Amino acid sequence: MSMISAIRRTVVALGIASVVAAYLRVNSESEVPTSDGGWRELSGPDFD
Amino acid sequence: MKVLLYGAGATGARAGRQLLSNAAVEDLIIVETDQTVADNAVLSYGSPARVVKIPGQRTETRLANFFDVVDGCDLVILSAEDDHEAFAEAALRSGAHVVSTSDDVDVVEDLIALDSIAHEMNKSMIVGAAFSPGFSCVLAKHGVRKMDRVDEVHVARMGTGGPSCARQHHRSLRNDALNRVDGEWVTARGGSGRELFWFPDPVGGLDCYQASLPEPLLLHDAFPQASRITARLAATRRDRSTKWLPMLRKPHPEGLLGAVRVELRGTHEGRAETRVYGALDRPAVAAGTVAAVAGIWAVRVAYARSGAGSLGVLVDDTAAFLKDLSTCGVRAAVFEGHTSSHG
Repeated sequence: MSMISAIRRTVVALGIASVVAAYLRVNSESEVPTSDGGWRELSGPDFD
Repeated sequence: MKVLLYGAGATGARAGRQLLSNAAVEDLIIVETDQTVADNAVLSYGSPARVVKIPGQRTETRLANFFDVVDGCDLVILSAEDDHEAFAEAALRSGAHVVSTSDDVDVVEDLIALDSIAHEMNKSMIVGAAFSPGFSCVLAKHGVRKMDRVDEVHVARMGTGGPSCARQHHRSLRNDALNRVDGEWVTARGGSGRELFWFPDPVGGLDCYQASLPEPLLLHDAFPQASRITARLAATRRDRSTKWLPMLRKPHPEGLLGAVRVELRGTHEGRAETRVYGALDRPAVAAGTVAAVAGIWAVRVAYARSGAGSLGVLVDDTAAFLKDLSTCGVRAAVFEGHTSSHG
């Protein structure tokens, strides 16, 4: 295998990997952890 | 009360202002290498603040001159970028209480090693008295007091104070983190270990990473029974990708909004319990206020004991300390409700 052929195959492989990665990055759904509740300033009984 | 303020940058300037709001402060000596900053501070404070120069390029020379200046001081607040170890020891030996705002792990270790000198002089050496560490340690202690047993303490912070703080933030991501895991000290690569943490609104959820932070060291002294103690730093993709390089641009004079979050896991009345505390403020403002209140407490001899340690070790009445901070405008919050994996 010539050097040029190896480089070409590497470029093609990286290109395919980039396209797949980009597709997954854009289209995959990631679930953002939800939080049920809220922040309350410390006051009164919290200082007991 | 005679106070020496070493470093009048973003944090030091706020500490000085808070100190001057206390009627007991009769003399405030400002030592600052940047003459313009020093002059501006004195102009802003008015009497009884004054500038004193400590000439010398070498630490030894500055230290010799520092001894003359610190004589008769009741309290020394170290908020400059350098000289904490040498000047802290000199101040303790001259009979002053010392407060350090440094969050550099090596500096913190060296300052804790001054415990025997502080004990011998019957003075307090408050280590890491800033927003994080500092306020974070008090919040952790306050929460732990409401639990029967604490197993885990996880601290996260976002934001920076002045330029020194920004440079330290940059270095923290580059260096290895030291965590307490299953009762052992374990290192982790800075910038690794992403976790999503929820800070008080409006900051909300942010990705936080391993970094060289002193909280595990300081909190282990306060809670030796906790088997897991970690600290993480909120960082952007650019922060992490450029951590190996020198800072590419000059830091801002002062960072904007910052936040700290302390998660405690343990047991209370036979049940597993998770408590989450947080705070939201400009880091330099909060750090300066914590340093000032910590110093005033030292002079009032309000700590549990003399010696060197974090606020988590030295403050016994955390509620009173948090009340004092609240009076100065630095307020804490507690998360209430059901939490997801990381509340």
